[in-house]
Amino acid sequence: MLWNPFNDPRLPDPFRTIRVLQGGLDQLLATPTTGTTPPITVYSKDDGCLVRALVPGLAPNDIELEVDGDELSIAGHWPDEPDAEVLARHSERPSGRFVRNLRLPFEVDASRVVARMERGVLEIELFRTPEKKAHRIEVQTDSSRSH
Amino acid sequence: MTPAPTATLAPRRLRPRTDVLETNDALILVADLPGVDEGSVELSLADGVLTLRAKPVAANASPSNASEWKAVWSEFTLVDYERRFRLSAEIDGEAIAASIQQGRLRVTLPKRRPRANRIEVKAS
Repeated sequence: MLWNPFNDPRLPDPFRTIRVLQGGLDQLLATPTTGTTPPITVYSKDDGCLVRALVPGLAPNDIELEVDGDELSIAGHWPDEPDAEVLARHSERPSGRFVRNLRLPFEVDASRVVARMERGVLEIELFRTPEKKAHRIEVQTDSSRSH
Repeated sequence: MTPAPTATLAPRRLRPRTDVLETNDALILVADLPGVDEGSVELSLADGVLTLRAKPVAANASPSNASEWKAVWSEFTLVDYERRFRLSAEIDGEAIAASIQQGRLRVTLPKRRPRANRIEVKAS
């Protein structure tokens, strides 16, 4: 039987490098930089966080916000420009639908989410669900007990 | 997630993303200027160049109660906007109209109507 270098388990996988690079590239492309998803900035403080997103041209009705556990979802549709016999178009602005999911480092108290929007800047304030306070446990040492 | 840098090389001015559409009668510019309203945008035309300058309104430039918050992930900064557009002679500079809504500016630049030149022929 002829030796097939692509099938020989003793040899290093020649496609491993490509697979690793592709995985990295997929991850990189998943992070929106330009494109249709609105850029966000996240701020935090002890009891919650603030998410700001740039959505110029959208009205509050055009935004769908959803909170589920520790995930925030921001979705919407960029408004279409009325076409009326457009002869030529140079496009830089985003169009179509967008969905952006954020995983936050805490469970969100869904009853306390506040969202406001002004001049195309969306601000969402999210608070942690109140946790049961951690109990401090005092450590007894042998010397504190009477023998 | 990369943490927000403490010292930023934030650009002093942003070039707003702008669509340019051409119809039979006009050129339409649509520019994204989040944080800007009619009081903080300036459009001027000189020598065939349309200059757009805008500032995000103070209330939008930083988050409400800014001192309480610490930035942990930053994909944008809200700074001044500026962009210039060279217009062709075909545009009627006197008739330019602009409006802004939800941080989106729309500028309509009508094309000059072609003047029908009637040349009168006199009997000599």
